[in-house]
Amino acid sequence: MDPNNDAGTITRERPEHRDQSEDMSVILKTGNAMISQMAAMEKLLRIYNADNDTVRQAADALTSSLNALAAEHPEIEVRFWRDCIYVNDERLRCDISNFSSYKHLLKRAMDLEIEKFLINENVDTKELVEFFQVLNRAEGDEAGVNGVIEGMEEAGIKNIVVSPASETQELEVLGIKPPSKRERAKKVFYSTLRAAKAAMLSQRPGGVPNVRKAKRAVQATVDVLLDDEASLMAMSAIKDHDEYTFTHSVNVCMFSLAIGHRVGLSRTQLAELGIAALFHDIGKVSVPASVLNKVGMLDVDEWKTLRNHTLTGVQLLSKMPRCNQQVIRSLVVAFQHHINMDQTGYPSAEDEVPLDLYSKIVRISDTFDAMTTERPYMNKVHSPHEALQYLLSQAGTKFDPVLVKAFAAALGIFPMGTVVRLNTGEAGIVVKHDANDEPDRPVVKIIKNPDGTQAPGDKIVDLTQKDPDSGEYLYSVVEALSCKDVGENPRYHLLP
Amino acid sequence: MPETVVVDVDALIDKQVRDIASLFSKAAKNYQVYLPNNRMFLASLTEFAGALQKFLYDHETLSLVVAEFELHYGGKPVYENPDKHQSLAFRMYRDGVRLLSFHKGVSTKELLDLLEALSKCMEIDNLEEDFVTLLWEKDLKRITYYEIEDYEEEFEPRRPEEQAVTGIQDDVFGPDAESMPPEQLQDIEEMKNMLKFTTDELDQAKQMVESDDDDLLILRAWQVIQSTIDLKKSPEAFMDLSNAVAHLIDMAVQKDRIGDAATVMKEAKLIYSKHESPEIRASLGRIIDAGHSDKNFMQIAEVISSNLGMKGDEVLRYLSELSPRAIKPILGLISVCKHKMSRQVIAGALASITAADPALILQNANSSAPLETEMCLDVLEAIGSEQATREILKLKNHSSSKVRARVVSLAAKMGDSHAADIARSLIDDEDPLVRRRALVTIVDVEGEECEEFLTEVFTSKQFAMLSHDQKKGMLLVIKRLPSEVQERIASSVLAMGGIFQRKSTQDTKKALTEVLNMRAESEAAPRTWRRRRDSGSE
Repeated sequence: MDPNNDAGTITRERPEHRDQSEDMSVILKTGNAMISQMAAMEKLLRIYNADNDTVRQAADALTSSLNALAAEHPEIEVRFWRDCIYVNDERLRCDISNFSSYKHLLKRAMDLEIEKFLINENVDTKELVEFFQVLNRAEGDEAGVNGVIEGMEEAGIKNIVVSPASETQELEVLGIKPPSKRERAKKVFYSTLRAAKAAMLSQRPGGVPNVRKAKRAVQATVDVLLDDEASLMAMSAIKDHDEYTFTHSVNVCMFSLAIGHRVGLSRTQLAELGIAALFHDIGKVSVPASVLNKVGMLDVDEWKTLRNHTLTGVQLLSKMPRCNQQVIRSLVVAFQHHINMDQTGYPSAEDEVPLDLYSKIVRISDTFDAMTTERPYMNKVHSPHEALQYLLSQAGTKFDPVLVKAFAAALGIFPMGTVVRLNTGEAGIVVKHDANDEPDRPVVKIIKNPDGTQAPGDKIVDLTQKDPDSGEYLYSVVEALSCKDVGENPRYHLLP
Repeated sequence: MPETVVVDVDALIDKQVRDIASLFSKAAKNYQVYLPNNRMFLASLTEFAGALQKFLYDHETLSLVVAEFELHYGGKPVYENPDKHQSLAFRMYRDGVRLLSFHKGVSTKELLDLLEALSKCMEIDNLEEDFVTLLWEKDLKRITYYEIEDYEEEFEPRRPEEQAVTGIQDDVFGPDAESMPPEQLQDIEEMKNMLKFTTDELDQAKQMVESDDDDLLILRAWQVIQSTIDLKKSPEAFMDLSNAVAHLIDMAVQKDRIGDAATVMKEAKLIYSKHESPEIRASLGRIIDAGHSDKNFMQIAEVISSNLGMKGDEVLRYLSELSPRAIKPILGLISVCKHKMSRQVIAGALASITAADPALILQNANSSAPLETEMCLDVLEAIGSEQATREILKLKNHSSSKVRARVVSLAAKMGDSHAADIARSLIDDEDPLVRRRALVTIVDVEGEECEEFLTEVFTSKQFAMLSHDQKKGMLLVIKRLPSEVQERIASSVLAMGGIFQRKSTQDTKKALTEVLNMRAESEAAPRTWRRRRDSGSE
């Protein structure tokens, strides 16, 4: 808090000259700090009262950030728009340094159907604290944003104005009911699958590539990812053997987007990464079906043929009529996606291959999906948890350690679809994950009772829940199991 | 009592929206017809933006339902056009858009982006984009849309069902690949700790994203293409990949990575020209063609017209890789040169392209454009070969006196054995600059041996007709000769005075005296000349 300003009211002095880029940089820097402070305030007020020291410190920090912005802007607009946060029209970047706070605040605004907060320069610390208390009270209230507005009126908050989101009203014009997040994710998954199939098959001789559909599907996937990463990750449970190459491509696309988002790629960069990931195995359309569908291990020649798909991929992508930046990027990924960080893997070039960021991302996603997909010749299909452990064990040698961590942060220690045994003796499937704060505490659907009998299937436990008296967690994971151990296909528990 | 006027608010709003839709359509049409900076287009855009912003001020949002050939508001059509090629509604409907909304605060820039997307999606060869993908990339905050997914089925015939690729083999764990992962590697706590990012890692991630820009992509892609060619070794691979190489070159130029474009072009030409196969040779042609596109020249022109600075070397390398077909467009770049350095870059590139056959440079030059012809002279001078000199001499009768003057100077500078002959032939040139250059060349090439010739010139009838200043300018060349020679020429000229008209004789005498009296300045004379010559006055 400003020592010369006891009430914590935001100061009004503004410097006279500052160029636009300088101003933007202040907004971005202070805006990011402000978002983290707002998320912290919101979380703290769930646990503590307004007069708690920690809450006061957080409120002071937030007031100080608002002060910095108020020096230039009499009104601060925090807008939640299409899965991004804007401060005075500047989009704040989401990356691994602020991911948790950014997503938390965005989710709260989206759940309450709030489009923006308009914070006046006269706001004081007391009003800020009351505002976040109102937000917390509105959680789970069907009134949504209207409940927040009423609560603010009751609390006498005058220097913060909340505006409702307008998108839902727009769809009402068409008489359309917005789909649930999981339904939307499922729809996007299948449309991406269709688009990938159409585009890849059209690469066969005489075909006309239809990149447009693929591009559109990937853009929709990016939108779903930015809105609800968890719903998208749940789709990776779709492991369709009949369409392995295409399903695998879509899964790799989704996992890659999750990594890209975590490390802070922009929306347009994500679309480029998504296309590259979707087409990373395009060369496989030229691998004979006898090799691809062979039950059992491949011999050396067959393996050589299969490995050749990276080069064929480059060749096929080169034939695209408009070989633009997106295609060029895809071509690099098609070539490099089996080359490890330590330069092992294939194809082996004479000189060291400087790996593209997108190739490193796809390498991780590709390995993870291949390990977790059942194929007849494999002795064992690995659970998502095991695959993640493998990636972590090879981080720094085969895989980029920062990217593996970003991937693990997106999936959680027990990724969706992992079968786990709980401390209660029950077994369940991880169906949801808010991996941001407690990566080992997902939401689990109980499928087996402690005695091994089938559970009714309607018990879902959130592992972040604590006993109100003891403060101890009610449930914890004691081990990860394989699907075969419980004879269940996670797909049926994850898809809407 | 005054009559009560009943205002039908709904009808007023309907009219307002119909007007907006009509202005929207007009602006979209004008965008296609005119350039974005055209006055007509800008007026229609401003009108559309004004009407829309006025409406949004009162109503927050304007949502238009998109039907096949109509736009609806409040259940009523506000725009209709059944022509598939012209209809604004059809363009959006075809690509699956069913609702288009404008929100309060929408800017003119956002509307311009919308019009651009509407125009671009109509391009016939646009196979990668539609209205929705283009609008998505624009990421407009105050224009939103609702789209349906299976939009194309109504308009695109479905392709015959093809056999699906149903692979189940994966390529991650093969016989000679990495070993299968071990069982439980870490316990849960250990994994939790591993997931925490250190400050260094956060910095690394940031750096990773920031450094992975287009700067690296071009050369990485080129390395991938080279390796694929190398590993595949088939003519088909050469041919297919030449398409990517060509696009890579264009992409590099468009992204202002001109140095990278030059590198790719040079190395690709080397690789492709090593092979005798006609198909591979044909592919080389495609690569070369890429560098010659008008779009690339426009980009280069933009670079040249701005401050070339550090880019000089890159542009030189790129232009030097082009074929003689590029001589004409390169010469065309002279018109945008603002600095001497730009001209040098162009001259250097042309010299490199035409070194083996300097005749090409004159064949491509437009003789009526002195700037281009002068550039040709620069280039031929830079080449410096005997053949280049011969080409220079061909311009001795060029219509531009500046060119003729330079021909004489260059001939002398390059030490051509015929330089003095050429100079003698131009001694009566109509342009004083050319005459003086011719004289200087003769003096420089022949030295004292030209004494008789100079005397003859200064006593000729043509010389007598010149003005005092012109005479003086020409007489100054004698300062380049030893003083005894200067005196001999002077006495001969003065002795011949009687045969001229009185005034001319006096002028000649006066000018000669002035020149001979400039002893103190004799050392500085060549420098003074050069400066005057550059300014084009005598």
